[in-house]
Order: sequence, then structure tokens, then C-alpha cells
Amino acid sequence: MTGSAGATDVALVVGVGNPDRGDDGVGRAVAALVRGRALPGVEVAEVRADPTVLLDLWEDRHPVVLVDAVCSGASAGALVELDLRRHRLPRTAIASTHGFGVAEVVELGRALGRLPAALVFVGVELGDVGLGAPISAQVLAGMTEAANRVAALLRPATIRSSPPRCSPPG
Amino acid sequence: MTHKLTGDQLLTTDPLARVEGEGAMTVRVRGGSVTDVELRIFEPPRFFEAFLRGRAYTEPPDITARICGICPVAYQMSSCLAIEQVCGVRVDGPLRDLRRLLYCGEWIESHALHIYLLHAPDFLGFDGVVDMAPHAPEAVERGLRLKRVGNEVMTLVGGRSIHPVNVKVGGFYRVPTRAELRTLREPLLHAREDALETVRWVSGFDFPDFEQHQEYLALRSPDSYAIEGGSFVSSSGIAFESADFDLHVREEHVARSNALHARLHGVGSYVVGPMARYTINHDVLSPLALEAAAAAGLGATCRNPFRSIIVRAVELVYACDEALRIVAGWEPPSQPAVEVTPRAGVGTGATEAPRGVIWHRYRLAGDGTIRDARIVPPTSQNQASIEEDMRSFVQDRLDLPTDELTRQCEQAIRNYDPCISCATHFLHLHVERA
Repeated sequence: MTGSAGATDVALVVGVGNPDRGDDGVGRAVAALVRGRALPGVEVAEVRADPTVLLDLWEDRHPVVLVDAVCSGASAGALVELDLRRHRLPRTAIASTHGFGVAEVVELGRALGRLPAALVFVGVELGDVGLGAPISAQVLAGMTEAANRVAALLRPATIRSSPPRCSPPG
Repeated sequence: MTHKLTGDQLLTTDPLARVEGEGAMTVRVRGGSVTDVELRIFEPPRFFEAFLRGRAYTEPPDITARICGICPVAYQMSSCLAIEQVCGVRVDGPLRDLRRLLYCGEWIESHALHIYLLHAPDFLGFDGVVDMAPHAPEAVERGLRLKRVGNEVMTLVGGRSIHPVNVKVGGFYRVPTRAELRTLREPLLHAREDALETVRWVSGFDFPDFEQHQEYLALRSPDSYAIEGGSFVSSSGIAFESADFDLHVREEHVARSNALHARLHGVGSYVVGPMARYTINHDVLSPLALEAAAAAGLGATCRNPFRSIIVRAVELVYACDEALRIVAGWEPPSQPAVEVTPRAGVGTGATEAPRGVIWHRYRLAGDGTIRDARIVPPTSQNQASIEEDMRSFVQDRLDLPTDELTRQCEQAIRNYDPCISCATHFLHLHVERA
């Protein structure tokens, strides 16, 4: 499968999550940290709901890094990384808009030939997702490392040569 | 492994996919007859009505928009109408047009999502849109384009596509310029063509032979397809104003559901949503939407809920048509909102969310503090009818293998585009053959 036609050298980081649900907001918080570094040639976007917008956001962008909270049973704040060109996210129907989440959008993009040529997922293990809760201390402690890893992934050579650091959960 | 429902058995759906929220359906079959159907909504209550008590009269549009990410405009509009009624204000002219345009954006986004990403896979034998996409990529791309245009309308008018922030009691915080609204013309023209193609596409699906007989209830306006207001009219001719809704509709708690069931006085269960709207209002559709409906084989009414996907597609055409009409005639008003001074009293507001009419009632103190709030969303009104549909649908299909019956039951539930998060909020299916 090929990536989006006409891909540019503009990279994209997308933080996904709901900041009103504690650690679920960590993807967007990490994206904000990356934005603060003002990396040249890097766009940063945040998605709170309706992840279908990802298909438009990442058009002509290369490489693309998605950052989101994950729940795999690991310690809160732990990082997980997946090359989404080679691996799938587990599909769930929990708490997403009419059962359509990030994993479904990535697979829809794959089916339509609309995945970026390089697409990596960085997940941060969540702890507390209470209504209105702040990001927990454990997850906060892992955010700088997550931002560092995202920045490193934005170097194309890193993405192209980087093997997945874990197997897809589930 | 599959089983047929011949003895005393239970059919269940585990968390029902492609609906919003947490719930389950149980169908009990004993001696070859369906004895019990329970739509169980166990998503916990969200207490929005209690949150609203003690808040200012200006806050409901922003608070109630958070009830749903798919139909926030519906909540905003019904709350605005109710509070404006208490305060003796009527919003008309260009501000009402702008409300209708924002609402058209929500209809386009919501209907495109349901038709293409959630419901069409049922008709074509796929588990979901991801599995359907390699076989129907042009259709899926069409759906995504339509959804994007709906989002564009909502973003331009409402400030953002999810939980818009530009709506206030009395109107808007800011109204767009003519030049700004004109940017929507080209995308909407393309969207209207995509909507017409949607009608042609879905009208070619195979539809199970099934009819529902419940009463239909929808809003009606004298000269346009009711969206952002109107009076209640039912398919048997019951008519009442929004202020009298609770004289005609009784909500009752049933132990299996955290969402109240609604019943129409003297009638019982009833249906709200596209089927009801089309039956009651098709005569005021735009000529293009009417033409598309006729070409798709829709008559003056539609009683097969599986064909609701065609009705939604016709409403997509209409929403694009209406949006284009408003964009073409837009003259910004001198003020973005009418001033609304609080006063004590009770007001109600009803508008047509994509999945059916939504009714709000507020009681205000003299200083505008909300003393009491009631919200009746569409899915809670449709619960009893969903159960009735399932009872007769399953009874006629007991010879089907359980897995096929379960699949068809899920499809039947999705006819309603249920939003459990709104209703309280859905879905596992169980067919029990004891």
C-alpha cells in the first residue's frame, strides 16, 4: 500500500483525548509540549472527539505521529509505540462517538489507501480518568519522555528504521 | 455454531456496536413465541437536569450541548427556545435563519455518519464500515465528504463542529459576514450532489419486509420542513404546542432502563425521528428532495423502519438545499443577538434533532436562576417502540439461526440511530430461549 499522494515534508503530531477526563487528556497534553518546542516543519493538532477528522488532517503530511492514552494494564505513564503501517491498534467500541474510535479510523484509512507513508502511534498508559480530574502525577511524570520520543520520531530516518517497541495489545 | 429458536430460549446482543452509549437487548422465547423483549439501558444517569438547577438562564446552551457530541445543536436550540419563551423573546428573521443553517450542518454531519459509517454496512453484509470500505470505497469517500461539509457548516456558524461555542440565548455571540457564509456555497453544492447520489445508492438496498404501526410524532411548521421549531403533530392527527407536551406525553420509569420511557396519552408508544418527520411533513420538502424521494420509491408515508436509511438520505438532500438557500440570502443583522432579560416563569422549547424531537422545559426565578429543568431526548421516547418492533420482528423470524437473527435484530435497532448517551444514556443483545 502506498501513502497519501503528494505527501510533503511537513510532519504532523496529533494529540487525541478528552482533557475533562483526567489522564485521557494526556495525548493532547503531550502534543502541546511538542508544540511548545516549535520544531521546524512540524505541525501540531489536537483532536478531542470525532476522530474521522484524522483522515483529512494527515493528508499530505509525513511523517505523522498520533499520541493517545492507552489502557493495557501497564503502569500509569508507561509508553507504548506502534508503527501503524505495520501493526493494527486493537478496535474497541468503548466511549467513542457511535462506536467509532481512533483504531477504526486508522483501519478505515488503511482500507481506503489514505494512511500517511509513515504513521506511528505513541500511547501513554493512563491511570485516573475521573470526570474533571487533572492528569495524574504518574502520567505527568511520563509526559516529557513521551514528548522526547515524539520529537525523535519526527526525524524520518527514525521512523523508517524503528522497529515496533512492543506488540499490539490484545 | 448456530442454533434455531425453537424451544424456550434467550437471544442476547452483547454490547451493541455502532450505537452511542451502553445498553443491551434481551428477547425471551418460550414455546415458539416471543414472550418478553427488554431494552435495558444501564449506562448510568448523567444528572444534567440536576446540574442545571441553580445555574444562570444564560448557561443551558453551553451545558446541555455537552450531553451529546453528535447532536449538540439540538440541545442548544431547544434550551434557547425554552428560555426565550420564559423571557417573552422571539428570535426571528436572519438570526432564526442562522440557527436553521447551523442545525442543517448538524443534520448533514449526523445523517452522513449514520448512513455511511454505521447503517449501510448492515444492508451490504459487512461487520462495519472498515470491512465495507475496500468493497465500496467510492461510497465511503462520499460519506466522509458529506460529513466534512456538515462539520464545515457547524464550524463556521457555531465556532467548532463538536459542542459549538457561538450559540447564546437570544442568538449568537458573533454572526458571519456575507463573504464568510459564501465560502460554504461550493462545498454545499457538491454535498447536495453527493446527497442525491446517496438517495440513489441506499434506495437500491434490499429491505426486510416489515412494517411498524406505532403513532408517529414530529414537529410541523406551516411553510417549511420543521427543524428549529414548530408545533407537535401526530400521524393520527393529535396536535399540541410545545407548552402542552407534558399534558400529552407521560414519562415513566421501568426497572430495566436508566432512561425514562415516554408514552403518548391515549395512544401509548410512539416513534420520533426521520420516519415520523417524513410522514408528517413530506409535503413541505423542497422540490429537489421531493423528487429524490419519489425516485427512490417513497410515497406519502414510510412504515418500514429499515427504509429509514432512505428517508435520512432524502433529509440530507433537504438539509443541503436549505443550507444553500440560507447562504444565498444571508444579510447579517445589526446585532448578533436579541437582548434577553430574565423574568420568573416556565418555558418550553422543542426542535428536531437528527434522531427525533427533543423537548426542554425550564422554570426560572425572577433573577434568571434556573429552579427546575426537564429534558426529553429522542431515544428515550423511542425505547418502547424499539421493543415493540423487536417483538414482532423476532416473532416472524424464529426459524433463523441465532447468529443471523441477532445480526438482524442489531440492524433493526440501528434503524432508530439510537443515542443512549442522550437517553441517559446503550447496547448488548440477548435472545433468551429458556
